[in-house]
Amino acid sequence: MKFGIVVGQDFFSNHVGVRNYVLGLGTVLSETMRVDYLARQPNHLGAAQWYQMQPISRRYVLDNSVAESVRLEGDPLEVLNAYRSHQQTPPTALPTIPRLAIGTDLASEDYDVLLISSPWCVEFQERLPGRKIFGLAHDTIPNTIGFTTWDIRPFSFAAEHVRGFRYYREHADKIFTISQDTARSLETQFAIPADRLCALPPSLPTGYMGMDIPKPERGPNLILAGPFDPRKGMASIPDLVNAASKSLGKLLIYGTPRCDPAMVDQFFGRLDPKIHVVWYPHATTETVATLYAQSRLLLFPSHREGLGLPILEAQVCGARVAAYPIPPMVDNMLTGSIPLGESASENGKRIAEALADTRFDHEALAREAAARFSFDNLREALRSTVMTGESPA
Amino acid sequence: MSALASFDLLSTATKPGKHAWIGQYAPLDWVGLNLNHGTNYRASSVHHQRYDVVWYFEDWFHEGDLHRMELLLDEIVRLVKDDGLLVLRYQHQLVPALKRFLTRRPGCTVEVDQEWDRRSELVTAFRIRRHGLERYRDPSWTFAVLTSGKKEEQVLKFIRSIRDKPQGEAQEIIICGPRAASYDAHKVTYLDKTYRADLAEISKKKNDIAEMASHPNLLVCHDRYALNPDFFDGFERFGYDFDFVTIRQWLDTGEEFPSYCALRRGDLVISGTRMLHRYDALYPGHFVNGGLFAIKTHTFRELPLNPIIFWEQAEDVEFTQILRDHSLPPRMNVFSSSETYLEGPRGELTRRTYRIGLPPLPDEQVDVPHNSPEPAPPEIQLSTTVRRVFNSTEAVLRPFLGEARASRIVASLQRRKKMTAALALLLMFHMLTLMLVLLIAIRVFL
Repeated sequence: MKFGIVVGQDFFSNHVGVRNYVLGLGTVLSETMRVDYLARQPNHLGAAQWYQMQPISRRYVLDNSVAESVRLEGDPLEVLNAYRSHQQTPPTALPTIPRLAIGTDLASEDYDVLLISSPWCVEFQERLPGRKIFGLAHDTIPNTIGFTTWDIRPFSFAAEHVRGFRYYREHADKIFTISQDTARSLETQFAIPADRLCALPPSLPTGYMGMDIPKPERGPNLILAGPFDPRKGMASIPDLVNAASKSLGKLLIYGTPRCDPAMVDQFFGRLDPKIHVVWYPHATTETVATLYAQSRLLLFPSHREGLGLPILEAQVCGARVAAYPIPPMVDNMLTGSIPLGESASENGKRIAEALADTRFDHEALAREAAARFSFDNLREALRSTVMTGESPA
Repeated sequence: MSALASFDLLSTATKPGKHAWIGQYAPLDWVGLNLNHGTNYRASSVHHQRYDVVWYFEDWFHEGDLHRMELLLDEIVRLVKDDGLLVLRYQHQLVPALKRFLTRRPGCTVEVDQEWDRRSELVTAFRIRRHGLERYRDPSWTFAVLTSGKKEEQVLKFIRSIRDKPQGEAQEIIICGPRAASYDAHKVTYLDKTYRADLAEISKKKNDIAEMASHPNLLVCHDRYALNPDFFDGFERFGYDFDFVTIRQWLDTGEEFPSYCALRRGDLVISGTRMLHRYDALYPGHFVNGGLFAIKTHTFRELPLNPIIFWEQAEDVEFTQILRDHSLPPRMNVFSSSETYLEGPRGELTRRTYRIGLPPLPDEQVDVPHNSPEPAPPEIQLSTTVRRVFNSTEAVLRPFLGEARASRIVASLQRRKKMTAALALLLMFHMLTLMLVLLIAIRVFL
């Protein structure tokens, strides 16, 4: 069976979370079929030629293109200064992405299934020449966020989503969503019939496939996953961390900023200067897993997520989760999770208590998460849908 | 057709059959194929041996294309059916290079069907007849490993990396080296010839392997390699229409080991090796690392390695050159890979190879900037005392020469480790200061 995943030309350089998810699907599918990543480049008339891309290596997929981890450590201002110096260092050049020219004749490639990996990849109107066309929907946040926040109005990106979802409605035989919540949104906001929607079970990033989860000593450490993003509750984090600082060992952070640099300065400036910070702007999957395994708690105060991968990752490494109890996050918050409420002081108190709690069974949480977010669930869902066209029960 | 005949390609353009247009703007209802989209200008294998007429007409070959012309032409010829036309537009200066490439290539017969020469540029419709194309469709392999017998475990790993894949069960495996019971369970065959003990006759051994191989695709490697799981799938993507190709080679640390390389000098004189991270050009001194390469068995038999160039005498450099002389440029299959093992420190390899980039060529097409900045000069290791002397020298010089100049002078002395000079300068300026103070004192008190 030949499976093509249609991606944007910038797939291997942008959209970290989406790439991580799509490479995960690709890896699971490639266990039983050939999987190609397909992109297209239009000429000035809009007529496009296709080409095939492949990840550089399996290691590249596992680490979602991060070549090596970068560690910065010290008090908040030391870490901020170290980051500024690090920004001056050019990144190690990654080897070329392997590509094959396909040209205008995609039909001759004879794909059994073409999966469109995101609605914004849909820069075409005709039905693609695959025996089956599937779409993948991550979320409808860009379509609705402008109605509930003052400062974030991604209307152009939202319009790309609309174009993609309309195409899915018109041409896709099946539409995968990364959560039940996204499936519900597509049904209500874009009138996509429920029988064509298939919510995939929550699953870890590919890097965890076959990984022996590291088991370093766990301390009263708090971890933040990609916090430098205004959409992920960035503004509220310093106060929550400061409120728990007496129980806090280290503040572990991973993820590169996706916000105005001034906001990063402000973030570190607002942290209690006594807090010991370890920040990995770039981290391989193994480093991320080690950080979770060293932590008692993940603080993830995001109000809007398509799935919330850090919640899955943290728990499979035994770290409890503090997040808002709203879909889709709440669907994946397991034993020991701390639901955040409206009161900042109350939230800070709960975080401090969780950090000080030495009796919590982190191993049991890891086991529960491993069963719940197993790759086998995803395998089963994908295979039954891809092979038979039927949605899993 | 005479060169003076009026220009008329319409009859060729309207020929029945399948046409491929290399470029972006196919003027008729043909397959458009922009080879710049493929790494190493590679097209998806469905295009190989498919077309009655292939057009390289939208772009044209000119002098600035010399570095990529061999790769492009090699790929374009592979698109043509067993008997088809290739229409090329090119600069007049390139006539010998281009026609040499097409006619000196084994496995092809080339004639000129039509040609128009208006001095500045030519258009030629070449009739290409490709022979023995079944060998370029057949996916069966002979894998051969050269071993001294000291790395039995690694040879076994290589064998398993083939046999453990469904596509690897039926392939031929040849061991060139001592027999081992552990290999026998995997249906291997041995090359039992004897070779001189005083000379490392790897070229002779590899030539003998080619004679012995029974499948059209031959991979030859040394006993430090194993195939990665992507090997067979990668060749499915890349296709079997190739003559001489290498694949990516990874160390177990995740670093890439040089497989597509060039010597610093391009004249068959042994010089430093550079690993190439761009696959869209050929350089003088370009070669495929002889530790592992894939080749068509019949091509290897026709153009063998030089038997009197021994191991570590750059037999691979001369071999690549001979193949290039016969219009068979080395290709890169970036979809298949192998694992390799090195003894000794590895970090150095990455630092050395990743940081080195050849000067960019005109019209380059790169996916990732390859020209990483030059590495910072190594920090000079100095003892604390010596460093203090240099620091004091700089402090003393600063009021007289200014900060920048003082710093430059001391840095230069440090680089050259001119401790004596620094001391002399330090003393001299201390003396000068002392004399100045004395003079002032004398003036004041007398």
